[in-house]
Amino acid sequence: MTSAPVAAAPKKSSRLNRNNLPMTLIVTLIPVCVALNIVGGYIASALRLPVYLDMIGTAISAIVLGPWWGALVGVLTNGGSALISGPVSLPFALVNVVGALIWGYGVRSWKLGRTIPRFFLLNVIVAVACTIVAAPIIVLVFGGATGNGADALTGTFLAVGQNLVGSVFSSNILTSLADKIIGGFVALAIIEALPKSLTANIDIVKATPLKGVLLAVAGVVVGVLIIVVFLALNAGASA
Amino acid sequence: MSMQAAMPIAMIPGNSIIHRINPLAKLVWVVGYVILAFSTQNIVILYSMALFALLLAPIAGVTKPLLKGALILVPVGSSLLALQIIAPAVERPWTAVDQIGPLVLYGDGVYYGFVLLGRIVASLLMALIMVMTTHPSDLFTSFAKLKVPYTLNFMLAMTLQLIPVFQREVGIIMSAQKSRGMKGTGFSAVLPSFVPVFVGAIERVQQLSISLESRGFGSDGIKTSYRQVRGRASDWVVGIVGAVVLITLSVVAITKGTWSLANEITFSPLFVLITFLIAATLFAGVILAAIAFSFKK
Repeated sequence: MTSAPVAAAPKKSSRLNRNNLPMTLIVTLIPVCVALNIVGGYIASALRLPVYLDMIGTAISAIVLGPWWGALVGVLTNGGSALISGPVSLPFALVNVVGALIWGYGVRSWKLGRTIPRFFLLNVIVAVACTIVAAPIIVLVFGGATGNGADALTGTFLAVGQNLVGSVFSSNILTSLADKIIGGFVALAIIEALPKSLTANIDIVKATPLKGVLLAVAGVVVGVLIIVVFLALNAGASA
Repeated sequence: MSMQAAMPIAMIPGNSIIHRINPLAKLVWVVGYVILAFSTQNIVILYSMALFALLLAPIAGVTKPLLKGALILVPVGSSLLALQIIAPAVERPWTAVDQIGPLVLYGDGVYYGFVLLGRIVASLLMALIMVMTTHPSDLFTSFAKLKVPYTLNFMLAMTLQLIPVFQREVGIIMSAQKSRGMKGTGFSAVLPSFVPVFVGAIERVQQLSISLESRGFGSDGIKTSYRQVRGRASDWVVGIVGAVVLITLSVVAITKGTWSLANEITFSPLFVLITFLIAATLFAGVILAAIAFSFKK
């Protein structure tokens, strides 16, 4: 008696990665996320928003594909920007990488995407980490300047006696909090609208209307503003 | 909605001597410029580098777009100088030269402010010259010759191709949303404009992925390129001269401890005051113009 041929268990193709997505899909998704990071900044300025929204592609890739793919998107975003408009944005790749790693590990490993408050907290952590990395770069490369309205805030903190690094950190944390929290929730809305084949393995909460998020962002920014002004005045008094 | 104003800086077609130089030779100059700019605090070297890059512009026929591209430095440059004068990024004690209200102006920051500005100007101008005179495909073909993984090369090349496509798409989607009554500005327009652009782009990627799969994207064979980039003797000369000059200057600067001329050059209090006033006025003007533009319509 000959045994019936048994179908071999499907072997995991070497062209599939840990997300069970074909490598060609990842290779094409990454440039899309990079281009969307760059275009996101243009959309924000077209909508006349006071935030940058230039890390949404990083957040989506880090959450959907994984933290290190998000980090690659971050590096390519600043590398691509360097090819378009010069190498001054290159050091900020580090900020993008840090944001990607925290968003990626936060949702995929630390389960910070399960509820809206947790996801909100994750975006606050991203904002603080990005500022910690960005502030020294801004001071060392640009002497504390960024070329946008936040510099007026930096000047105000300097005028009351805060030192340069402290002033840059204080003004940057305010813009970073608004930018990363709003950006994170926009990414959440986009992830919800993506094909299920891409998002099936991700444990993440459903998107929420942006109006509530904006109110919470305003509360956090005002709270942090009070703290940094208090610290700046204290620093000025003790100087 | 027109996004033309936000279009990135791209290649300006031409057949100048700068256009014909091998991309790798130009890349040597750009990388060398960045290394030298960040190795030295000598403003004579930094502004000579910027001037040299500026002199290449008429030869390449890109003077006007180069100056237009360099305009992005106005806000950051002006705020950089103003901030350095009120809070120098150098060790204390600082020398106060004047006071405007609560703002004390320090002479020490002027030199360092010009150093930081010179670094950015020099690096940016040389990079823009390279970008404006090099076809992106030639650059990626050259990267491939340097054994940069073709997957990475593909991702970078595809990014540069996608940016104008997405910008066009943003314009179409926002016009469509506005025709349905969406507000054209503010946070209420964020989700209706971001979500369709991102989701549409990512969904289309799945078709592209299948197309790549069917063309054997991951195969191990030798990859060829439609555009051929050849290295002539003159390209080698340009590359080697650039590498030798810039590396030598960087080494000299490092051995001389950044080669700063801060002690040799002093700025009069009047010069500090005028520099601060010009920088602060320019920065305030840019910010006010941006605010006025946001309230337009």
